[in-house]
Amino acid sequence: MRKGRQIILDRVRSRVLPDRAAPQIDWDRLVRYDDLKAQFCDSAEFVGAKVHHVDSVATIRRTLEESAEYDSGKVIASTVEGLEGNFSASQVQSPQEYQSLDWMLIRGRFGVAENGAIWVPADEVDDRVQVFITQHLVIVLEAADLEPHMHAAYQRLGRFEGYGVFVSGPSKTADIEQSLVLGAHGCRTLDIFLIGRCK
Amino acid sequence: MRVGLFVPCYIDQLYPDVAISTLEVLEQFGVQVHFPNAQTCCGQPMANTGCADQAAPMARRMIEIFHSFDYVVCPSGSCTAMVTHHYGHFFHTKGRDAYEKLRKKTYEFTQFVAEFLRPERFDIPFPHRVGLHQSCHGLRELRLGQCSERMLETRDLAGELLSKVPGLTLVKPTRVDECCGFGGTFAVAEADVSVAMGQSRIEDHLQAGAEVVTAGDMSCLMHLQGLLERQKQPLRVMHLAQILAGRPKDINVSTRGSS
Amino acid sequence: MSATVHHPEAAKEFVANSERMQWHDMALWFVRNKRDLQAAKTPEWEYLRELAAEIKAHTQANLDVYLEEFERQAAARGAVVHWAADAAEHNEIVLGILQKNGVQRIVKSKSMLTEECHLNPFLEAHGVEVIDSDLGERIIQMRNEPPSHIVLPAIHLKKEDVGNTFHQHLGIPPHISDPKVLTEVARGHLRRKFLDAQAGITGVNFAIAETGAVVVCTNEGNADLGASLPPIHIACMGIEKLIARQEDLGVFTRLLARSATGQPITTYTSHFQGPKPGGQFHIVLVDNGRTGIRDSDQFREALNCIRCGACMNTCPVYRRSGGHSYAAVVPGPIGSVLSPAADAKQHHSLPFACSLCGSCTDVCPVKIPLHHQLLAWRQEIARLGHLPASKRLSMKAASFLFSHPRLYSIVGSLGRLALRMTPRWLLYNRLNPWGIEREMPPAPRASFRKWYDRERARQNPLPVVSSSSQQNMETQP
Repeated sequence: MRKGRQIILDRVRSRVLPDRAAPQIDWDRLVRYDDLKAQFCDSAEFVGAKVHHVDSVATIRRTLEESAEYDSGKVIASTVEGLEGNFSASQVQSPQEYQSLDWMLIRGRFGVAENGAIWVPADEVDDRVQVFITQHLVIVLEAADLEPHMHAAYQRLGRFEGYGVFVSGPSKTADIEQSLVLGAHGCRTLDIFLIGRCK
Repeated sequence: MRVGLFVPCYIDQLYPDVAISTLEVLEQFGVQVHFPNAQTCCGQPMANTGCADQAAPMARRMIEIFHSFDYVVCPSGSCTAMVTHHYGHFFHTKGRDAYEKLRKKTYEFTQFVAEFLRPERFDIPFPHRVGLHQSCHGLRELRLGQCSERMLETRDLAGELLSKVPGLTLVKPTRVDECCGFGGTFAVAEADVSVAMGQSRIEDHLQAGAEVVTAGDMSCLMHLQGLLERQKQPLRVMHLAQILAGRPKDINVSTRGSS
Repeated sequence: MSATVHHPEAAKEFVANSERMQWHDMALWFVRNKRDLQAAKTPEWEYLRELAAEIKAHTQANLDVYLEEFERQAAARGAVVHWAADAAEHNEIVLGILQKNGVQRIVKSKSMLTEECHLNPFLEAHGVEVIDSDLGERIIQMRNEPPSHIVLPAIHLKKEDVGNTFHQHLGIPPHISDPKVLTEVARGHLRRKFLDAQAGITGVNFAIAETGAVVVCTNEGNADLGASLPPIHIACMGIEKLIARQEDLGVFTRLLARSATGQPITTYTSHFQGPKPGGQFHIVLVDNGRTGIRDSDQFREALNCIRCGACMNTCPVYRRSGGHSYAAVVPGPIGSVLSPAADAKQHHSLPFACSLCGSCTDVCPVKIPLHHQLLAWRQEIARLGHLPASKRLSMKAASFLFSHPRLYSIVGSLGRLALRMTPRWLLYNRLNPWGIEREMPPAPRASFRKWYDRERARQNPLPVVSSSSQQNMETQP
């Protein structure tokens, strides 16, 4: 199994290229948004998410219950403190068992204004598959936790361990005649609850 | 200022009025223009077919022929770009300095008029609806206008000049700078795609209400004219220099059929 | 080896169905338009392109260092890193992992690399069920067709075609063509496959040397389900997918989806660092000709490619000839650069399937000078002797003619005379591809040089050009 490794490294080393320095980003040249929250909401809605503004976690359930899709009889799991579901991950043996999930309620770490993406690291969920296998996804986010763009997002992330994903809108496809259909393999809908004000 | 007129071979042979118009416009501004008749072709057909060895002597001839002029002006973005953007590798080892001189003094016609002669307005009116075809090499190599792919603002030189012709109405196709499908030998080697591309351009300009399609490159227009005449469409083609020189809109209509 | 590809013939077939050709053109133009809107909303767009190209150049220059660093970091996080010099070794490695774990059913998300290595038929021949999980890829897999686009693999199909395919393969009632309904059908079908799979294979969009992370971008969520449900995740990547630093992702995640589909970012941008708890994570690094491209000053930048497909969407030839006309794993401008690198003879017509309009170069988010590379390939193909004799000889003749101005002038006059005198039936026939749908250009009696000689030459004598220097020119080798 070491064969390919040596061949590739030998090939690469047999051709020395003049060094080119890694570029340093000039942050002055990057886009600036006057209102991060407004930009985030615009972007999130552009990618098909629904954004709700709430004062606290306590008011989320009421808003959810007004939604046509939401029904407390369905299978609901939550990893958000103060927002209980009816499905407990503690009995789960394999990720396949999450296939019955109708709703998954999670917290996002921070959002990105330019594209509506939300950072969800593995430690916000019981199993990362929950993010993708649920029919409907709810992400709770503090409005103070917004970054303007991906450069700032990665700077904020710094070094992290394990798995993490940026989620921007519900899953979608346009593979059939370029018609956009929400709900490909992942969640059909994404509701974002923004709590409080921007920093 | 002595200007050497660099006339693409197909213009010399098939559209002499384009070269005459170019000459006339330049002379109107008091430019002293010469046509060195040892010139033939810049070598682009060979280079674009991959035959660099056959194109190289053409490049060397160009340097010889135009070395004594202050400027070289050419009514074609494509042939100009051949000289300014694609000759480099012919002079890697020998003749680098001579080539650099040629490169720096070679200008496409609209570029030369817009940047050096800076006309305030043209005298002869052209009371027609004109669609501007942005020929690819003028656009994406010489950057004579705004490229729709690039998020950088660029002056649209041809549009600026046309706006100074009395009576002329500029109309815009929806795909503002799509290729017409000429592409030199591409027009023959990939005739089916080439024709399909030309057809789209024509339909787009017709939709915009153009009576005349103009461009800085007659080769694109030759291809479109071929399609238009076969289909007996009333849409006419004219090189930009012909409009600026005050030619009527039927100037290029082929008389072959009637004789 | 497959037969030599002749693009013009395949294109002719595609163009012949004019209605479908125009539909295909507009479907892709629609994507190009969405890309324009997103790029225009990003004021630093051109700056990002520059940064992306610089990052790639930096990584290429230090590739050995970064490959080893990546291996070290990925291994430290629990991944198993494999190296494959070519497609065969890659396929063997993947099969080896599957066999060792007794895997018989896998789901695979989009990966042009595994397409390039022909992994599916290889695994199937060894009794492994491979299900492509991207909707477009699943559709063409059922139809037993290759993808016609790297981002939109089924863009050549109409919704009715998809309905038919699902009717045949999934047993849905006939004549269903609503994309929503069809997508729902595929969701149900693939859900079962995801739940059943014993391993998931994904492609890789970016791999980060300093962290050992593998980043996968999708809209459907298929890569993420495939990498999260089964216990084994195998990520297959070309070595050019490597970038040095995590912060470099800021540049690429901003460019990729905007260029590809006109979204500000893909729905899911997954960062895999090590296996999930209790699982296995394998990364296969593949060369398969990439170091050869890296060796070439002319073509190296082709390795910048992030497989966004923007060059296809903008290419006026691709839009009107369809992806299958290229008979290559990657079609369109970037494919016409990469395919001859793999086999110049087989793919010799591809660099000529281009009008040299240059739109691909300007649209490319990583600044690959695509149309210059296509031109360079034409020279390579001529040098290697793969140019058809007709082209070679006519260019030799032209060069001779253009080196002799007087002869050129005489031949020009004769040509114009012939053009004027030749009867239509003789002028317009199948041997004249120009004239099949186009009139020949006008044939004026006098050339410009004749006119100039008559009207201007005397009152406007040439300043220098001596006859001796002309002589000199004409006798040059």
